[in-house]
Amino acid sequence: MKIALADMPWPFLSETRVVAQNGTGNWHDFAAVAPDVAIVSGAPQAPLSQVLSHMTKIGSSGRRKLEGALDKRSNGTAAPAFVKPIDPLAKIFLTEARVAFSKSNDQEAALKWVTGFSLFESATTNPGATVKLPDPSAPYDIEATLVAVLGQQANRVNGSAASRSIVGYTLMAQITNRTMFDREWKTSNNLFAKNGYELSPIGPAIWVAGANELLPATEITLTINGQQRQRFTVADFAHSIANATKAWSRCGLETGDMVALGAAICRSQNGNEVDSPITIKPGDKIEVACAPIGTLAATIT
Amino acid sequence: MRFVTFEPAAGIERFGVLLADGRIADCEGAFAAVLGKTLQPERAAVLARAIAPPNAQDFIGNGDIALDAARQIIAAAKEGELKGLRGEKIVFAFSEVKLQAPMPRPRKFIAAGKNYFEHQAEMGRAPDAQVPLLPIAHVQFASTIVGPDATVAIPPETKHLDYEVEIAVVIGKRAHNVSKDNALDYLFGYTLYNDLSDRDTYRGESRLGGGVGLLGKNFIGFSPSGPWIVTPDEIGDPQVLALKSRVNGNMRQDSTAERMMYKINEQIAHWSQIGLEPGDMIGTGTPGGVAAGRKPDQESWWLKSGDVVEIEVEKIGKLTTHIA
Repeated sequence: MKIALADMPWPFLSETRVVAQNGTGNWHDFAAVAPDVAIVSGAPQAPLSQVLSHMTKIGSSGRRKLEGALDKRSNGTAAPAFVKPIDPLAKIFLTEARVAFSKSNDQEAALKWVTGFSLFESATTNPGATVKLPDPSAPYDIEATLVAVLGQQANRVNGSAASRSIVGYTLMAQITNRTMFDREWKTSNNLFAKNGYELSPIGPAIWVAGANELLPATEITLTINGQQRQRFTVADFAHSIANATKAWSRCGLETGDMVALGAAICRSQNGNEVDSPITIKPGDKIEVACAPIGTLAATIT
Repeated sequence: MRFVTFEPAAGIERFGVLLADGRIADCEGAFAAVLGKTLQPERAAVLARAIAPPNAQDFIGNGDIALDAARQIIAAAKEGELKGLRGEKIVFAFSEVKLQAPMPRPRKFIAAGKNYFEHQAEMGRAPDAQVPLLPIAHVQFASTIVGPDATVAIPPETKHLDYEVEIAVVIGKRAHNVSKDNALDYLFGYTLYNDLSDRDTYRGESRLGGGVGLLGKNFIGFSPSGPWIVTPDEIGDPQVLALKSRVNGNMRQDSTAERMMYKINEQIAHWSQIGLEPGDMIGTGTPGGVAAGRKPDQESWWLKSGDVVEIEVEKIGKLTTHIA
C-alpha cells in the first residue's frame, strides 16, 4: 500500500490531502477509507503524521483491511498532483555515505561511526518539480537515496524497536552544491551545501511496509536523461536501516521524521563512485526509482 | 514589545504579549476584547483569531498587522483591566502560568559555531586567527527546544556537557537572498538560547569529517530558549549587547556581541541564501568561557547533575536551566 500527499481535483480544491493507492493503481482520498483518523484529528482530514501514526498502530492486518476497502472503491485518480510527503517539522537525517568505505562486519562497532547531515524541510521539493540550481557558477551533484519514514516515536531504541518504528519508505534525489560543500568541509561546516532552497525532490509516495517487506535485493537506481548512473541495493548499505535509525534515535525521533540511508556503496560499472559526484546541469531529466515505491522524477533548470 | 508562549493551563499553549505592568495578555483573547468595543462579539472573535492567532508561528507570520494588534492591546490595558468577550480571564501574572520557549517549534533553527574571537581561540585556534571563510553553523532540531526553568537530563553517554550563552534571532518575514545592509529589517525579535553541547559526541562526529555536531548538539532538551522575544525597537544595536553565563552563581562567560566575527546582519544575509521564513531562528554564536576552553581546572567546569545554569543578555533578559 502506498500513501502520498496530493493536491486533489474537485471537490478538494485548494486542499492538500493524504491519498492512498488501491490495487488498480488509482488514488483515493485517505479519509474516505479511514474516516475515524480524520475525526480524531478534528480536521476535515488527518495530517500526514497522524496517518503515519495510524498505519503503524493498525499493523499489517489493519493495513490489509484498508487495502481491501480501497480495492472496493471505484473511480479515483490515476495521477494526482503529488506534493512532497513530508511534515514541515520533520527531522531529516542524511546518513553519511562515506561510511561505505569503512564497512565493518562488526555492526556494533560500525554503529559507533554513524554520522551525517541534516536537511531542513525547506530544502526538499515536490516530485515532478523543476529544480532551479541557485548558483549557476557552482557544480551540483546528485545522489539517489532511500528514505525510511518513522511511524512512531523512537527514543534511544534498540535495533528491533527501531525497525518497528519505521512505517514505510520513500525516495530522495539529494542534490548538493559541491563548491560550497568543499568550502564548508574546510571550515568544519555542513549546512549550506545540502540545504539549498527546494533543491532536493522527495517522494513520490510513501510505501507502507514492515521492515521484513523491504528485501535486501531491492534496487534503487538513478537515471539521468535516460542513462542509468547509479544502482545499488538495500543490502549495500554500510549501516542497516535499523542500525542507522537506532543511532539517530539517540536524539529522539518522532512520527514523520526521516532517515535517509545515503548513497550506499555504488557500482563502478554503472559509472558511479561515491567520491566522484554525478554532476547535473540545467535541462537534465532525473529519475530515482525503486520498484515498490515508484519513480521520483524532476527536471533541472 | 516582549512576546511569550505560555500555558495558562496544562497542555494549552498560547501566545502572549507583556503589558506595561509586567503581566501577560493572551494576544488572541485580548485583541478580541479590544475589537469587541466596536464590533459584535462573534465578528471580533473571528477577526482576532485571524489577526492575532494563538501560536507563535502564525502570529509572527502575520507580520505588521499582528504587531499592530499587540500595540493596541498594550494601549487598551493602560485604560482599564482587559476581560475576554465572555468575561474570561485573558491577563495573567507570571506566577499563574508556565512559560514555554517563546518560539517553540521553528521550522528552521540554524546555530552558529565558533563565531566569537575568544571562543574560536579557546577551541584550539590562534587568538588572531582570521575570520572563517564562511559562517560556521549546525542544524538545531526544533525538538531540542525547551523553555525557561526547564530541567535537562544529561544523556547517558555524555561525559562532558557544556553551556553556551547565545543571542538568538527570530525571523519576522520571508528573507531570501537579502543583503546585509537591510538584513535586520527581516527580524521579528531577539531571544536567548543556551546551546548545550555534548563535547565528546560533537568532537567524534567532527573527526569523521562532514559531520559537524549533529547528535552532539541535538540531544533532547539541548536548546533551552526564552524567556521571551524582544522586538528590535527595544534592542537598538545588537552588536553592543553584553552576554553572561553563570553556573551555580559563578561567572563563566562575560563578553559582548562586539566580539562576534560574523555580525548578526551578515549571518542573516548569508543564511537567507537558503531561504528564511517567519519564525525561523538563528543562534548567533557564543563568546569565550565555555568549559571546553577552560585551562586549567577544566574538570570542575563541566556541567553535572544538580547544576543551575543562568544565561543573560543585556536588554533581553535571563534564562535559567536546571541540569539533572
